[in-house]
Amino acid sequence: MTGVGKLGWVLAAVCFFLYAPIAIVIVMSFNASKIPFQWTGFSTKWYSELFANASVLEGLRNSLIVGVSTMILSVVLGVLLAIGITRHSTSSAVQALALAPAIIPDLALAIGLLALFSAISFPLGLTTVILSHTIFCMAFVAAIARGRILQIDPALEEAALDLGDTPRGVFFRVTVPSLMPAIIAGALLAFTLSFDEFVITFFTNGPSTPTLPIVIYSMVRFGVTPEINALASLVLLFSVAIVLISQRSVKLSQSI
Amino acid sequence: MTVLLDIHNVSKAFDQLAALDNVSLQIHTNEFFAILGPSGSGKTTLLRALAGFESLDSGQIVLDGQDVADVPPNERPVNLMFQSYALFPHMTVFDNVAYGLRREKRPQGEIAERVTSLLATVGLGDMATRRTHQLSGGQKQRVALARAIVKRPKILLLDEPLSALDRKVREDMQLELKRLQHEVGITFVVVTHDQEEAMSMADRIAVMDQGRVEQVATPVELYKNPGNPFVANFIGTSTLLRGHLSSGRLHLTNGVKVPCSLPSEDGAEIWLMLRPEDISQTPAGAITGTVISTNFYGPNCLVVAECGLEIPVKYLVGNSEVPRVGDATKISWAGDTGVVVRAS
Repeated sequence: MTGVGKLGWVLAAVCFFLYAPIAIVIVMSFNASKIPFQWTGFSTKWYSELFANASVLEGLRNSLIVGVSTMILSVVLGVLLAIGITRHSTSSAVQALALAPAIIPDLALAIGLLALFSAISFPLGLTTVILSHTIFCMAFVAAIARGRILQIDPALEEAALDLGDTPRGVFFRVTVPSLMPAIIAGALLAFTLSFDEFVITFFTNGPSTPTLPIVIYSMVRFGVTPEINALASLVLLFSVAIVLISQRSVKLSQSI
Repeated sequence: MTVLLDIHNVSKAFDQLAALDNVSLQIHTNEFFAILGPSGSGKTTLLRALAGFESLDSGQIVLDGQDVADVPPNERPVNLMFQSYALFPHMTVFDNVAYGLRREKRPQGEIAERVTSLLATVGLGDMATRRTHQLSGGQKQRVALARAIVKRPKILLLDEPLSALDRKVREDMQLELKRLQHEVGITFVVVTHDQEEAMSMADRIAVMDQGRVEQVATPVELYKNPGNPFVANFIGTSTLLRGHLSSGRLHLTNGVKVPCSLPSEDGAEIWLMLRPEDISQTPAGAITGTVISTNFYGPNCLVVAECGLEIPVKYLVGNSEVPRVGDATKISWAGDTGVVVRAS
């Protein structure tokens, strides 16, 4: 314990609280018994039951639609927003306002959006969920892209223009490739944020198109079943994979 | 000598502050021209205006008979080599150099041929497939240079081309730039704050200060006949004594009289510019002083001495006569040496 010192027990406690629940979920997802915390043998039956569950599959489908749409919209808008606030504005108020949706409490954003959609009688459904997710995901993408833009030599774009390229050509041949690490990281972050988002989805979604977190929530209300453990384990695996991919791709494209 | 670029009464202000104040310059075909000035002199603004990145408040930039002041940078037959080189990090050396030709929609074969032969010319024949981050500073500069001349611009603009290089590489590149300019036959306009760089490479130099052109001349002329005190002070090392001439002597404002028999009207305020090599240290010297610093170069040594002449005097001695700081010294100069400089 010399390396960690006297506070080693704090570290141990923190790690326990962080990882024990995750470990329990994973272990229990392979428990043959239906009763929690009573190990009766290894089984993968909850996973097969999960894939036979129509409402789970429906939720997964909706979440993927929302995640991918949000990812595309927020990358396009977020990158443009980042270019706008770094290159074409010196006002710190504009920057703060542009990035604020990332830190506004979900609940406030959710209530506000619901009020807005009702006021203009916009029917609630996946479209409203996608629009709502895009609002805060876009701010995260913009924050990441802004950091990258500040690192790039502004002379790169001037050089391309000087070599006879059109402003549009410069954007696609120089600006976008230079921002690629931020674009990939932002896209994956936007997808993961949207994929397991609950509060805003709960407020802005219609009743006929539940996303995966909403489906899980309605299942959990009747108790945590092993099926849910299996689902949670899969979501965890999926998210970790995305984070790993994003870290790798950022490293890769930064070394280029 | 035909005028290729005529910069006519060009002015530009940023927030009321004049960066270019009625600048006029003429640059000839196939000339190696340098714009030299301290930072804030407006030289970079002028270069960016020539490339099309700064709009003008007034004046014309006439290139080969055509006013280009309102032509956007991507349509000007001028290329700029950036101080930071601005190589595209996501492309290979070949793709960097080919960028301009591809925008011209040249045939593949022609692009490959021109890029390859130019890379060979700048000594990077075997580097075509490298990424730019794998290159040394000198190699990056060669890529930037190749990329900027591959389109055969009428003028190549170079922004502080050697400032990012080590001393040794810099000396090689000075020669290299001269050689290339001859070889490709393109007019070069270099912006620099380094007078040594300008003096050693340029055919003619425009000295700028505070947005104005102070003097345009050959390096030798600038050194020998500076047009005003700023140029005299900025180019090379000099001792500038201010006073008025009267009966073959210069009367300094503190009352001291020093020799000066150069022709000039009596009574007018002038500066006498003495180069270090004009002044000699000799036991028979009439002017006495104390050495306050020495700067040893090898073959000789620059001595700075306080001689009661309002400003310290700078002079050269051979490497066998180097005094020590604090030593008493005696110096003299002939009355007909130096140059009379008037305020412009």
